Amino acid sequence: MSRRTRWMVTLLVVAQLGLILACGSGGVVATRGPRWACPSPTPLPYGEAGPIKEIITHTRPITEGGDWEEIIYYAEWEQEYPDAGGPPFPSPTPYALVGTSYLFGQRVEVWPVHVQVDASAGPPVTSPGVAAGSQQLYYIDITWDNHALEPFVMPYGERVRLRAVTSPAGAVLSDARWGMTNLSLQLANMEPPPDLVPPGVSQVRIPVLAPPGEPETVDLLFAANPDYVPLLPTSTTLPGTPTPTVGGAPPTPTLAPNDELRASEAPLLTVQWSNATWVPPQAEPCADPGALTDWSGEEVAWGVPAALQVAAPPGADRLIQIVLNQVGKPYIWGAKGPEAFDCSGLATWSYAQIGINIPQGTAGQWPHMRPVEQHALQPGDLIFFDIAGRGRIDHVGVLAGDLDGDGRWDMVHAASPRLGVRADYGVFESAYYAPRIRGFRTAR
Amino acid sequence: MLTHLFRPMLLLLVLLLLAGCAAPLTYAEVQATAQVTGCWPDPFPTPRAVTVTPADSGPVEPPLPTTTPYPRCPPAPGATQVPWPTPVPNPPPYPTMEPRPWQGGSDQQTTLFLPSNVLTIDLATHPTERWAAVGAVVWSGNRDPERAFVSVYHPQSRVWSPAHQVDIGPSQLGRYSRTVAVAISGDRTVHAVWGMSDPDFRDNDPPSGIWAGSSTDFGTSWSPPLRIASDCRRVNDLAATLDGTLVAQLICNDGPDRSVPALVVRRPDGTWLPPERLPIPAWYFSEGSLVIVGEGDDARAVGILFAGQGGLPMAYLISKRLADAGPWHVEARPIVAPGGELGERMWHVRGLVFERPSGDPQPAPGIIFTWTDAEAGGAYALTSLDGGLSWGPVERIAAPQHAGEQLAFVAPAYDPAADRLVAVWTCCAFALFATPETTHYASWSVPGSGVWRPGTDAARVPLVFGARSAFETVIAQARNSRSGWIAWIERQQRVELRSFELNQIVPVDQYQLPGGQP
Repeated sequence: MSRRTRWMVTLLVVAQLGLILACGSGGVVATRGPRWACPSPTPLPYGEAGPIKEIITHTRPITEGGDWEEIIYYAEWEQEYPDAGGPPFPSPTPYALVGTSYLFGQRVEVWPVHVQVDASAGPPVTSPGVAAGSQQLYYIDITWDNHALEPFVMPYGERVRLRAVTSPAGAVLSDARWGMTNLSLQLANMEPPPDLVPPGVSQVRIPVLAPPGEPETVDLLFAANPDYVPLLPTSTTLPGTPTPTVGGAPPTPTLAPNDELRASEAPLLTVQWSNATWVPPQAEPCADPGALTDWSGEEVAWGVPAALQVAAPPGADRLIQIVLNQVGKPYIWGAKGPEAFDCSGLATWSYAQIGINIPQGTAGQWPHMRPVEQHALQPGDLIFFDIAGRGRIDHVGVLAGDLDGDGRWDMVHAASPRLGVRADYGVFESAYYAPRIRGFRTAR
Repeated sequence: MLTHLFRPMLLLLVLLLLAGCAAPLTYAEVQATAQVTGCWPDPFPTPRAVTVTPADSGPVEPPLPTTTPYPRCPPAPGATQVPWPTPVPNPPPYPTMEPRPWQGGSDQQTTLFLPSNVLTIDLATHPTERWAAVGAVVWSGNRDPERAFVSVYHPQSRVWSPAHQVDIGPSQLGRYSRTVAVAISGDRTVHAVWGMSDPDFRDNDPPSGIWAGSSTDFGTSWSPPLRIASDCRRVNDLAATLDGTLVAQLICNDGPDRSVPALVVRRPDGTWLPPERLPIPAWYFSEGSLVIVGEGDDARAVGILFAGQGGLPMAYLISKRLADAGPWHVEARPIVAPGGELGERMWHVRGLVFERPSGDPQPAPGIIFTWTDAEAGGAYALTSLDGGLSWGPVERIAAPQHAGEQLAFVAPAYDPAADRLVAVWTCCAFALFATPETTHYASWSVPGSGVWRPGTDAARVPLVFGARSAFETVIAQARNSRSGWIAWIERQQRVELRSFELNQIVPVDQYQLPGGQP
């Protein structure tokens, strides 16, 4: 071994030792929230808090002040809807609030690793001390792709859980105690997996005992440390990235009784994989990234009062899926959902579910949203009506694309107290609706 | 040193001047500038990743690319550098209780944590024993159905059972009625009632209904679901007695456009009676609560239901001696609260029966119902000191102190040693699909006084249950127990539970004992 090689090995060992010491109780160190490994846009700051999209130089006579520059920032909607003409919104960012729930088999980035989790049912267990028919083996298969140069500590017995199973009777059972034990290893005739995840691609199988059924949900727990900088083979840190620091002082607790009981705990990031039934409309799962990452993400936003409200990387498909799920609900004037809607409330609530805030009421939506021509309509755009013929906007629907495959625009709307939320087809050809259309607005 | 700092500043200034009178720089131009200045020009968008090989790469050959990125250039004079990308903040400390040896209770535990949102929860204790059961409805958010789960705390092993889905087979929850209520009868049977509705209720085909199931082994197994009411959508509450009588408050359809409340009673022998619909103009989403005072032939069910009338909130107080065959007694009462206007919709209603210390061998039990205002965000109570025969005025427990605050959930408890009612409420946001900082606070009151401390404008008393982003919060308490159970939905997805002792909430000076707090 040459001197240089020894030096490099020593460097790596020191780095690994430092990592292990820094990890404390061990575990993969997640430096940021999980994301789909599919190409996935992630929410970023926008407006003046975000990057500059474009600088337009305007010519002006020197007598009027000379040339001036107009700085254009990205709008919120441009995170997910690439603008046709301008530069795309920069992505990704290490700060993503995209949720922690995925499908079995889905490859997920929990930087600096990619991890894929699957689970399968094993044989029923017959063993002394285990009541007949009460337990079954399950196998949790984890594929790691560790992009760092050093291995990570992963105590599988503590950090992997079969969170839920579906019993033969069809009932989902959920518990936090179904993990790898000496008994499960013995019954599976397996050796304990190594606690280190090596650099590169590796696989591990974890046996777990749980009530009989099919695997429903698996938890993987990561130690979370946004300050940790993994040792990577090449620079993957964006130039210009500041050293991560705590964003401001922590909130000062209000002095009050029982303050002496306050405590803190090491942050853990729980990422879940499940066999949820999710079939995106007209798309493969990867074509609609983040579809199952919508309602969670709490570990990423530690204590942050929802500064980034965008909880789901949406797509037009996702919005339409949400709107269609409301069909059949009642119309109640003034209702903003989710149990009942009025016409504008349906649009506002549905957009809110994908993290886009649009004005409330037709009186807010019609004048304050961006107009769009009919030829440029996209699914998800809003269509406004003057139903009563009194010369003012009194109704709005969400254009849903071509739902029935006849090549015509269909819409979902909270129609009336009698009709509730419903889909109406061929709206531009409808003898009732077409003459009452007054225009369109978009949140794109 | 000064030269070292001055050079990037000067170049940056030149760059800005150039940018001010010419087309925006390309990425390559910015990158080249960065390589000269040693820092990335501050106002420019974060670029794509680049690899920079330093001139002196040390003893390692071939030279490794540096892992040190360019720092950002100092901001221009007078400008503020915006953090970019936004760093992930460290988690702040949050209030929690230290572990302690509970007698019949437990420290904070998570009984349910699935990938989807928990929409609603309910909590019940055995009438005289201090063990509990919690029900939760989980919204899938995908094409899986909504599911109702129940976990039970085993009084001997002191372990929560796995959360068990109870709405299986034909009783599976629909997508529009997502309520579950739990109760425990004296024979240690855990009961669950849940609302099921047809996904397309415009034709009500198949008709919506209410289902019930029970477990006699502390939640390990459940009886097949039993349909106890048809054409009903929602269960507001379920109450049980020692002898096994159950009463559930429901919301049912009354034709295609109207809803009415209904009461359904289960006799101690297990027979469910047909639901009795009450002629009260309710909403299909009207919320209410129900308690049972007394036992055996003296048992009376007392409930409250909220609806609106002419834009004003209206409470309907419902009562009946369960041994009687007669109709339910209904008293309509407009809700007028002190200290401000109310919205039309009252929600998140909870009820509690309490027995005050008295020399009377058969003291009249007290009843408290608490709720919040869906629009104005305040927390309120209605109290009876005579078992529901008469009621005091509406009491304001707490109110928002700032615009935008909302006290979304409130639940009552009672400390028999101090003779104080306690209300635990959440503040200061309401967001099912987000995780705002929302935790628990407490107020207390002498029963019947109508005065809750601390006052609305006084410093609030936060509780240390361990919530960082608490959504729905419920409390259950065995009769006049000194401790209770509290459950809440934490950060949208988790059902958190813990025991708490009331003397850790009620201040010392509220105890009328020589030594103060016992």
